[in-house]
Order: sequence, then structure tokens, then C-alpha cells
Amino acid sequence: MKTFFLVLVSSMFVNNVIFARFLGICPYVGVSKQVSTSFGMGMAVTFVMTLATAMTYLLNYFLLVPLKIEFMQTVMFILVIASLVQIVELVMKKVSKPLYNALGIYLPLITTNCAILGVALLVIQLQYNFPLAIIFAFCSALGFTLAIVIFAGIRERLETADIPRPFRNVPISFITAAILAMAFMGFSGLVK
Amino acid sequence: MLRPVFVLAVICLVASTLLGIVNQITIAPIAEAQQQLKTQALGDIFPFAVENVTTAKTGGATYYEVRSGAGELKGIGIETFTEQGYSGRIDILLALSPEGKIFDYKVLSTKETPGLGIKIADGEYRKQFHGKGLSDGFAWKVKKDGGDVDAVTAATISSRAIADAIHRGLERYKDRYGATSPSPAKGAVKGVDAVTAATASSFSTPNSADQGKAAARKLQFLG
Amino acid sequence: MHPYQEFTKGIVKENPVLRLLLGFCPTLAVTTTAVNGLGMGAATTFVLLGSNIVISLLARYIPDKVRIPCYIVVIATFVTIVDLLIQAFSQELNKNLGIFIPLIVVNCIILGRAEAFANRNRLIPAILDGLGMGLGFTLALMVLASIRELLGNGTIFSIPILTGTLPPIIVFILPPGAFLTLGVMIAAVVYFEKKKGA
Repeated sequence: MKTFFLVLVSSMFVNNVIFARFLGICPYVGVSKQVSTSFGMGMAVTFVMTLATAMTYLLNYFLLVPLKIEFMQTVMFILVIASLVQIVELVMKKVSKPLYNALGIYLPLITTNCAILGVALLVIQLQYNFPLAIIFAFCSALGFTLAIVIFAGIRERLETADIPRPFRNVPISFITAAILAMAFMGFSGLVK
Repeated sequence: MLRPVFVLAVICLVASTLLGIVNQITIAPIAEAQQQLKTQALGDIFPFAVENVTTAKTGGATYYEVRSGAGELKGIGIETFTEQGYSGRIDILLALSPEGKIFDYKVLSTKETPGLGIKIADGEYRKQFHGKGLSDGFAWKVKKDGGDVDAVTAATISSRAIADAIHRGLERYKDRYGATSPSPAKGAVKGVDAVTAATASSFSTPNSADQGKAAARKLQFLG
Repeated sequence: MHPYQEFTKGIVKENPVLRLLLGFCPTLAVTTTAVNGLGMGAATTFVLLGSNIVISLLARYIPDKVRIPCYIVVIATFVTIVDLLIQAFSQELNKNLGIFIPLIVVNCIILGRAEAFANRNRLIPAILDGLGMGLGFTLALMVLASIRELLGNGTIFSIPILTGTLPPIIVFILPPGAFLTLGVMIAAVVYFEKKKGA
């Protein structure tokens, strides 16, 4: 139980995917103009990341390891993630139109979101067991959502601020991220 | 309709064949590089030259048995970790005498704060653990929590974490070798799942400076 | 375009990190020391060059429908080759770059160049483009890494420079320092570009 809690806090706050692990920076900068869209992106990532980690985890331990072809990990994982995103998009379109309207547009962007492949590889590297891997993926994605939503909130305000011209858009995003990363460092030591 | 599938299949086939070949070529150098890294790490923390190493895995833990030329057990290296570091997991390699007393340890991977928490990897800090074991009445907690471990100034959490990691390592020693000192013979070892011999003549020997340091360390350990 | 320009455009004018704003994750993550920056840059350049060559040669045989999966397989293959080579030759670099070696697969620079350049150009321009973009990426990483290592640790390539004169500002080798330095670097590039244009 204690391990579960440790993993939960660690993956969501202390080692936040964006501020500590530097995964998924592109959507963080790209899809964070509004709180509503960034929340949609966060939810889509949460859904795909949990599912993808479960699939790649099983693939790794039931196919790659027994066949001793772990070197195919990168190739297989990225293919699984890419096809998973396609399938999710198709299924969502058929099954739930409202859900598709809410999350669908973010799905194509997810394939090249390095947070998905990154987390899938991390759970293998950290040698987590299956439930722990799922919790890690789910909480990491929530950490991603948290980071992107907070940032979008700040960015909506920045729209009206008078920023020196060279710093507009991307540079100010990174400087804001630096301050947020410092704030997230305050979570270090929370796990003890 | 079939052409796209065919092209994709051909590309996948070529790619996996190519990777299979590259893997075959690199598999031996990678194993050797990893082995060398381990031996080097062991050489850093044992007060004698590490030449003859046997690797054993029991119940998820990895043990490195360092033997003399004659096969006598001289020390045990144990991989251990803690999840309680200031920034999460810390992995260490613990060097123990056959009686389960600490020679030294090496931090293998950590994300502790540079300049502060990272001092748990410093030689000065590590000294306090030399010669300590499970059964000395040494309390494996920092002084703040009523234990015997000195904490790094301004890095109590990192210090607490390293105490936890070492303690886990000592427990792992106890799991395999029991509370009593083991006989050097292999038969006395209990619960062995897999024992792989990995002895190589290419194992690094410490240079003279290291040997001096090692000797000094040994004196300290005895004193 | 002159072949020479295909090569130089990636270094400054279309620098993948500073101008095209691609590939931020490895840029931020591995630039704690100049050596790591160089290692990552070299690995990415190798993959970029390899994928550009193969894709420029194969582009006309690949049906449009399966274009992206095919590119991904080609890129992932080169990434795995680099991964295995780094493991065999430098365990230290392997440890420092960690999962960011396999993550070269999802570095948008590589798929971006395959889509935007390699699949519609001949072999020679594709090679020059790959080399130029790779070099531009490496340079951006090295500048960022050198600033961070110098301010955060007082060294560049582990050679002491500020050690003793200026106490290390640790935050620069921590995550916030990465965001801060890259933000200021991009702003500086925008500033000088504006000045030149005016």
C-alpha cells in the first residue's frame, strides 16, 4: 500500500513528467492557449497513456522477453502506440460521438507525444509490476494534465500582458515553465 | 489495396532482419561493457583488488561474491535501493565483508540535489558506516529520528533515504547468508535460484593510488 | 536552392531547435553537461542522416496510405542501431542519456524532415539537409549545455573555468535552469533576427 502511495505522489508531483522528466514538452507549448483545450488534451493523454502502457507492458513481458528480442522494444512500442491511437480514434468515433468531439482532435497529436513512449519505457526500466505500472502511467498523465492546465491558466492572463517583443509566445512559455518547475521542486521531499 | 500492406510488411521485415544482425554483433561487446562497469564499481568500494566475481540472483536481489584466487570468499557486493530519496529512487551498491560488516558503498543512480543531498555519495559521509552491520546495536535511522546515522547538513531526507537503502541491503545479506557468518563454501548458501559464474582475466585491477587509498581504508576499517 | 545552402540552412536560418521550435524534450533533458549535449546531438544526427537517406530513396515506392508507419519503422530501426552502439561503446553516455536515446524516435525533427524534405528530394540534397539539421541541433544543444554547465557547475566539458571565482548556481543544472536558459536563448535569436531585418 505504501509503495502505491509513494509511486502516486512521486509520479504526479515530485517527478512530474513535464517539470522533472521533460517529457511531452511539445503539446505543453503547443496546446496550452486555453484552459478548456488543454484539459481536453490532458484527458486524451491520460486515456491513451494508461492504455498504451498496459499494452506495451504485456507485449514486453509476454512476447519480447520470452523470445529474447528485447532489442525490438523501441520499434514495437512505437508501432503499438501509433496503431493504438488510430484504433482509439476509430472506436471513439463509432461508440461515443460526444467523447470524440471532446477528445478526438487531440488524438493524432498524441502519436508523437514523447510522454507516451517515455512512460511506457520507464515502467520497464524501473521494473515495476503490472498494477504499479498502470498506476504510474495514470498518475503521470494526471501530472501532465495538472501541469498543462495550470500553465494554460497563466497563459490566458499572459495574452493581455505587455511582454517585450522578443519574449512573446515560446520564450515566455519557457520562462513561466521555469518558475513552475521551481514551484514543483517544492514537492521534493514530500515522499519520506 | 494490397500494395500498401505489402510495402509495409517488406519494410518491417528488412528492418527486423537488420536489427537482428546488429544485435548479434553488439551483444557480446554490450555484455562485456556492462560486466566491466560492474567490476569497476566493485573495485571502487572493496579495500582489495576485485578479480574473481560470481554473480548470484536470489528473490529479485543481485549478489556479487568476490573471491580470492584460491576461491575463498572475501566480500559480498549487494545491489540495493530506496524509494525515499528527496527526488525519488536512489540505487546503491553495498560492499560487505563475509561477516556482513560494511566496507563502503557506491551511489549508482540518484537525482538528489547537486551540492546538498548528493553529499550522501561523498567519501567523508560514507566513512561513518565502515565496519557497521545489522547486529551491532547500530540504529539505522538518522539522529533526528533517534538513530545513529549522522545526517548531511540541510539534507536530512537524503540521509534518511541512504540509511534506508543500506538497511535494505543488510536485510538482503541476512536473507541469503543468515545472521551467522557463512562458510566460504558454496554449499552453505541457501535459496539459490541461479548462480552464474562470470570470471574474466580482463577484470580491472586498481592502480597504485587506488591501492593506497584502499589500504588506508582497510586500516580504518580494522581500527 | 544551391546544395551548399541545403546544408547551411539548418545551422542558423532554420535551426531546428531555435527557429523551427522542434525537439524540445531531449534539448531540455540531457543538457546538464556539454558532453551529454554532444552525445545526444551526434546520436540524433546519425538517425536523421540515416532516415533522410533511406526515405529519399524509398519515397516513390511507398504508397501514401502507409507513409507514416513506414517512416516510423525506418526511424525506429536507426534509433535502435544507435542505442545498441552506445550501449556497446559507452555505458557512461548510455546511463546519462537514459530513455532519451530510444525517445529519439519521437523527436519531431526527424519525422518532420522526412515529411517536409526527404520524401520529395533527391539523395544528395537529403543527405545535406540531414547533416545540416543534425549539426544545427547539435550546436543548439551544445550552446545550451555549455551555458548550463558553466553557470551550474563552473565547468565546460568538465574543464574548470569559473571554479573558485563564482560559486556554482545549482539551479542551472536542475530542471528550472533548462527552461530558463532555453527561453532566453530563443528570445535572443528572435531579437537579433529582428535587428538584422530592420
